[in-house]
Amino acid sequence: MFRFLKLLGKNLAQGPSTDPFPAKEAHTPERFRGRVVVNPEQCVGCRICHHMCAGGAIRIEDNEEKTGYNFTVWHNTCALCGMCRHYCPTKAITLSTDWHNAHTQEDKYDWAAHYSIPYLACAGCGAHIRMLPPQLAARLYAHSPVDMTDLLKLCPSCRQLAAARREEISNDTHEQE
Amino acid sequence: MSEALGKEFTLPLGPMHVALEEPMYFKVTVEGERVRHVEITSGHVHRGMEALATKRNLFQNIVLTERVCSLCSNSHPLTYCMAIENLAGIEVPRRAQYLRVLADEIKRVASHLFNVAILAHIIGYKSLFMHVMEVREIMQDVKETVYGNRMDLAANTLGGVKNDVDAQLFGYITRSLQRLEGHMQEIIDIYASNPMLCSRTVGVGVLPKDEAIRYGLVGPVARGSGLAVDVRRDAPYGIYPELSFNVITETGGDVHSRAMVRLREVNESISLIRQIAANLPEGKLTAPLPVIPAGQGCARTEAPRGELFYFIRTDESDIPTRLKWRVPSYMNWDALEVMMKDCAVADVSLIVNSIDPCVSCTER
Amino acid sequence: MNLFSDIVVRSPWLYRINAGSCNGCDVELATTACIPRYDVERLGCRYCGSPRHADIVLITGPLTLRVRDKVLRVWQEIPEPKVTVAVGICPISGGVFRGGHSIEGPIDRYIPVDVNVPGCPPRPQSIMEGVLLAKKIWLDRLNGIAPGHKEERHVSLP
Ligand code: SF4
Ligand code: SF4
Ligand code: SF4
Repeated sequence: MFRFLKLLGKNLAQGPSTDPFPAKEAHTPERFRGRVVVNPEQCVGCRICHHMCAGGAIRIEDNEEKTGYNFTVWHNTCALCGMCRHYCPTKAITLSTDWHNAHTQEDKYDWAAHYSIPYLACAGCGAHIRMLPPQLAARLYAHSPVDMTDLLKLCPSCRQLAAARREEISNDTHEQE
Repeated sequence: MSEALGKEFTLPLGPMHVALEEPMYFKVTVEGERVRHVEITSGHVHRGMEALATKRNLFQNIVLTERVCSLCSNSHPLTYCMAIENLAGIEVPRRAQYLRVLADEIKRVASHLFNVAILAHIIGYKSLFMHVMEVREIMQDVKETVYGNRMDLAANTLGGVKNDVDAQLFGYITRSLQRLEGHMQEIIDIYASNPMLCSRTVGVGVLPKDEAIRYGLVGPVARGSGLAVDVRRDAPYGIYPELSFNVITETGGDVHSRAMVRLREVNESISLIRQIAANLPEGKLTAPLPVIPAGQGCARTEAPRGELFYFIRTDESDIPTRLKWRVPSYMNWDALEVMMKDCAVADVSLIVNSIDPCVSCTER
Repeated sequence: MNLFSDIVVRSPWLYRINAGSCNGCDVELATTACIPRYDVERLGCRYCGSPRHADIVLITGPLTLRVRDKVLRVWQEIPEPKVTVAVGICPISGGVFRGGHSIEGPIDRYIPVDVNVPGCPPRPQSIMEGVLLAKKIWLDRLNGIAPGHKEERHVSLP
């Protein structure tokens, strides 16, 4: 009897243990792994996330005109494992804390995020390239003496040519001295 | 009526039986109230995972193995990663080793508490069931706060761990452990001495020690029969040799002993987590990954249910040519034959639950 | 009679089917159902042990070959109007098991699903949102607002 009273007192002091959700917003921890979001500015189209994704929730395909690529994340296949986030070299793909996921069957095939990310036409030959995002380039070439702004707008082969030409010019100036 | 009682007849149990968590199908031949013969039909959770693993690359398989079973969902990817690390000779940084054990022990606490809660549920002690599940919520919150999901931690990756745990989170973990420990003492007292609980579990589903050896049992089921086997001590891996813990055994060999082993192991896990919090070294989280060579590797760990074994064979590509795992429930499954011999029909689900069977592990 | 059905608040009973899940979703369903912290009974829902009493059915798992016929049979036993909820990415798309040799899902190949709750596993609050959505559909169906599409809702048992 005494134990019972003690327990009763304890429980009264503790208050209800029921989470007030759905009457109130539920607490979501900061690290909660919720719906995947992509920052199209940062994505370089390397497809590492696609390679990592166990269920095949990520689809990356060139668009019809080949002027860019369509990046799709199917939330209904995503296991929220965070492998894409962990291995994405530019941290373009991340997991939000959004867990409000329930939807009706009509919305099933709309339950995805579509991004369309444009290619850039190479300033030299016009071939389509994915330019290195400026923030990333700034980090990568922070200590480079060469100004990369124009070089980054070139496709790899045009960039080679440009580099060779630069060498040539600097060699010429050396010889004149 | 009395004639019917004397005759044997077959009683199908499952696969959608409410008392059992997973689709298992038993054909129980009973005579009156006594079970004479048990036949187990399985395969309902066979998802073809070993075949799937040879279609997915090494990274995708981390996620795939995590979904073998969500109750021991950290042990599978951990052992899988260890097998590859053994194969390729990858040295996992010490901080990562500590964090791996942290994740493993957190899962062990939650898994053991779930099992003993279901025990209370089966014998109809609903308030105890709810209490233990509420206490387990402490651990669920830890998992959600530290790792971001309540079941699948996604902590491991090849060569290390994915998430760091900083001092602030460790503070949170320690506070949670303190709350958990307060409850644990009370729960252990109830399980050890409550007359209703004891009368349903003591002497039920007995498995003597020699039978446990004969069937090659592992994990809490073996330890409940007085057999002190624990991979963490017998074939140490990771940083377990540097941590101190006891291998818990009980001698009863019945449903009650197995529940007590699990409860007391929760306390051991709490102490292990504390040791990790106190000794965590600084350092990197992942080792640089070499090209995984062709070869074969294996690893074993102590999952919440016992010894878990992984074997992997690779060619030079990043898709394994064979991935094979042997789960603890597979070993413990057969011993049900001994435990269920001549038991009462009402005890069938109680005994099945006491080996903490993981159907989805066993059937992949 | 009409007045009666207007003032009475109907409470759906829930039933869960495991179609080969990895336990993650299943355990979360049990947690949502049984413990005071989440307490679905506040929402007027109750778990029941028999499909014949159920109104809302929650299905987990990718529907394995072995379990398919049994799941379909149990599902058929549930009286109309029923609402089907797919919990976890497994029943919705096959999830990480997609393309396995014994995976018969996604489950809407066989069963008309009404609500999807993706996640691997979804957190209990998320499941509760799904149940609330299902309850709304169920009430609409009872009141004849939403189509029960009885004819379409047949499954073919092999
Ligand atoms: S999201 Fe990241 S990993 Fe995926 S394609 Fe873009 S940059 Fe590469
Ligand atoms: S979180 Fe996992 S399953 Fe989801 S998109 Fe990223 S890699 Fe794929
Ligand atoms: S959705 Fe994920 S957690 Fe749920 S049953 Fe499938 S694999 Fe397991």
